[in-house]
Amino acid sequence: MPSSMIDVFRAQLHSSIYWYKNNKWMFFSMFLWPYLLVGVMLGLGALVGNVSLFSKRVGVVDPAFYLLSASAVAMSSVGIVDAVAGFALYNRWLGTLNYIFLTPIREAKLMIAAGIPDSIITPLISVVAVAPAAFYFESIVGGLKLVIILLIMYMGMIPLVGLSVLAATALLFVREESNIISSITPFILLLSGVFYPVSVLPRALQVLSAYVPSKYVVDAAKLAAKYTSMPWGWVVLTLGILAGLGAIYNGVASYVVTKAEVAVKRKGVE
Amino acid sequence: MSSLLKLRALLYLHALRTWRFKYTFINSTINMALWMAIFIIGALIFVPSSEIPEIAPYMFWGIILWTVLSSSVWSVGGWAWFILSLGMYEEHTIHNTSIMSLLSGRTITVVTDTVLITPVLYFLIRKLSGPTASYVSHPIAIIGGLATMFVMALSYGLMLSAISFRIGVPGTLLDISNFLLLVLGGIAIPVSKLPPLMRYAALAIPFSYPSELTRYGATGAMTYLPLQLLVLLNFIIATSMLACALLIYRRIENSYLRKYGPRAIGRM
Repeated sequence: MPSSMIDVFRAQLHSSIYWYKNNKWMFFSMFLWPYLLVGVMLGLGALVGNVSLFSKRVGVVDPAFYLLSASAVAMSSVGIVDAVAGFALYNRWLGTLNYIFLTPIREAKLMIAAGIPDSIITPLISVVAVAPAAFYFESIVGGLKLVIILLIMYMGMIPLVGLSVLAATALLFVREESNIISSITPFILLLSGVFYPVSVLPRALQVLSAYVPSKYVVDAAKLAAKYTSMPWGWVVLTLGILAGLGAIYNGVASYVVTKAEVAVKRKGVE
Repeated sequence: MSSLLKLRALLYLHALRTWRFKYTFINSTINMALWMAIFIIGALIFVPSSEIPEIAPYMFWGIILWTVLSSSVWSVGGWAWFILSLGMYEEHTIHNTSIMSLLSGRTITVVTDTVLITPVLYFLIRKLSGPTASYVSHPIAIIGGLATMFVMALSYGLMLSAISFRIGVPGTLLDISNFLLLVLGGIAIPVSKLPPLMRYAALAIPFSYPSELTRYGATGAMTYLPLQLLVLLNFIIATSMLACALLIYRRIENSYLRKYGPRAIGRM
């Protein structure tokens, strides 16, 4: 039976929905995480320093709104990288990766399509989770800002999926049981400047951060917390950069996965 | 099998496994260090530059202590899940080896993890705090604080895994409770700097005692409770927690697991 990216997407969407249904605590905790992160950061910060200094240094007017949106971005990035990179790993654990590789679809398409459902679901859950707080702090304007951040998150998801597919490919060649490159997620977040301005990082890391998609989404959250209306010129520029990064990362990922597919099929899945 | 031989077997198992899965181990250390770096930098953004030398040692040791707690709980919990997935629970039980002893061996990984992560975080935070901050003032107090934190964290992990074998503790709950303990448990912030109500909450949480002792060892600053009382309470609490963990494990292993079999932490 021929299979397309749409078939893989639908199958993975079903799988993800049932996974959430069977892991209700996990699902419930996803709504708590942004508040927990913000609570810890604000609590820690307020006890050892002061919140107004944070606002001044980061350049935001509403630190709670900014931290909530930044936490949502952080959670989404973690969710996307874990979902895409974890796909190959989880199926290897289950012993189903061999069968998946025998399906007619090319591996590059398979991995990208399999990562899309969670890449849509995770940012949506994160934004829905922080929506009540956004409405509380900034009423309808806060809600609208969140919608814009969600859209930029989805644009940021495209290059992040490519990056995650590269990580998943590396996992195919390592004979270990866990995601040995899971540290890529905190590295991406470190470079994105989720809780601080990127300017505090060493120069080399600042340069690298320009190539990290979630940095632009965090910047959007910063701007949303700074202005009452979004600077549209900046939004368009950000979307352009994310589209460019998406083309580069996904192009590289497709090439690498195609090469990896040949190697994996030759020696088999371990 | 003699107890000594069992101990040697357990040490060998965990050391060998850490070596065989070296990439996993290195990755988990880097992972932890990077997450901690994000939070440390984030928290220090709130602090005026002139106060960073005073606050940075609290942050540094707080994060190290939290790493011990978090990685002990996850390491023990994760292994409980892992051995159940592989069907090794039954294998060990029929060879009369306590699962608790098996899980206790995770201490090796936790200690190695902490030893590797400490210098990395030290260099990072030292760079941020400048040369005037004091990180070690009374080394014996630091060693005492860290050792009792290890005992408490291991006991807590064992208690949770014992209970989870019976009722199934969702892994996400552990994440949440670990996070809350960072602030509420007086781990990252001195008890004296907490608001009054939180201060009482922190004193009711065992982990605040080794944290206070370690902070005293780092900066020489006054502890919230008198030092002698703190040391005594710290020792009593650590011993009691270990005794409780042993008791709960024995009880659950002997009276429940042998009859009904286990449930587990995490994804299951």
